[in-house]
Amino acid sequence: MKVKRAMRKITMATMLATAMTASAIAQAQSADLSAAQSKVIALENAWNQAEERKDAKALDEILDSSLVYTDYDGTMKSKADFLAAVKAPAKHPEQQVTESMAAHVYGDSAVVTGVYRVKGTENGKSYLRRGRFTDTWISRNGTWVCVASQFTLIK
Amino acid sequence: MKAIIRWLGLLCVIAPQICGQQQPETGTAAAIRALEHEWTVGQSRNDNRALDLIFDSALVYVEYGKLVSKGDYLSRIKREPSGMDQIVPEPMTVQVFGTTAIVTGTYVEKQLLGRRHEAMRWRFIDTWVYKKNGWVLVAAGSAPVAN
Repeated sequence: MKVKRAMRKITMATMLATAMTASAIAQAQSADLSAAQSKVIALENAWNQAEERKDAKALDEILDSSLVYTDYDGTMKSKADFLAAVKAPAKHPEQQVTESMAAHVYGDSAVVTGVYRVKGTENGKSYLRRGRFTDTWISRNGTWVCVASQFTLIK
Repeated sequence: MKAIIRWLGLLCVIAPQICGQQQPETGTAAAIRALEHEWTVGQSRNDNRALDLIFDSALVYVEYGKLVSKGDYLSRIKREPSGMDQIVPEPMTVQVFGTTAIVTGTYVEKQLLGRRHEAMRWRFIDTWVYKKNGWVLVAAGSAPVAN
């Protein structure tokens, strides 16, 4: 009888320990996920600010060298093309605002979608565009860089 | 002996070129291209079951500037009569970053509007992620290419 009781206690203790370990792992994973989400969202905001300030150096750190960027008119740009467009003297961005954003993290990659509004002047003409963006980020040795970005106008 | 060496030398020069032409693309890039093809075929046949396997449950799909979930997308495909839209894929590029793959390219969408056909070219970016059971599409979007 005593042996049975002891066995039951051991089993209970083992089950409790397993449950606690699983919960701790789940919490750690959830914390990692949320940290990654926060990081990519912060980088998205940094991207907006850098573009508004025409800060190509800051953008150079955020964007991967293999970046593929599809603009609202279907134009495809490489990282060099994109940075050149940002720095163009004829372009004067006034406002780059993200209205909403959501990040999905898949291990070492993350997809951020949101609605984005840009306002400014280009070649003397004013522009105001509102569209939906989809950005893909990858983590390289703990540093997140954007490898693909797309902007589609909302009709 | 000289003739044999010359012949072997010629073979060494020609063989990789022949092999390069005939050898099919292998590895991840080929697998992703095959999935892109499956998607086009699945959509044209309104095959929701095939598309369900290709799309991640958290898929984000941007269509005409609208954010569409996997459920919305699949139910639209199911509703649409088969063969209404024709998707003609054009060359695509696959870039692989570990367990993430980015596909960029263009396609022509042919729609039957009333009695006339209209064609529009789109540029797309798709993101695939490798999960336990294979590669799944997690994000897709396209923008119309201005004429």
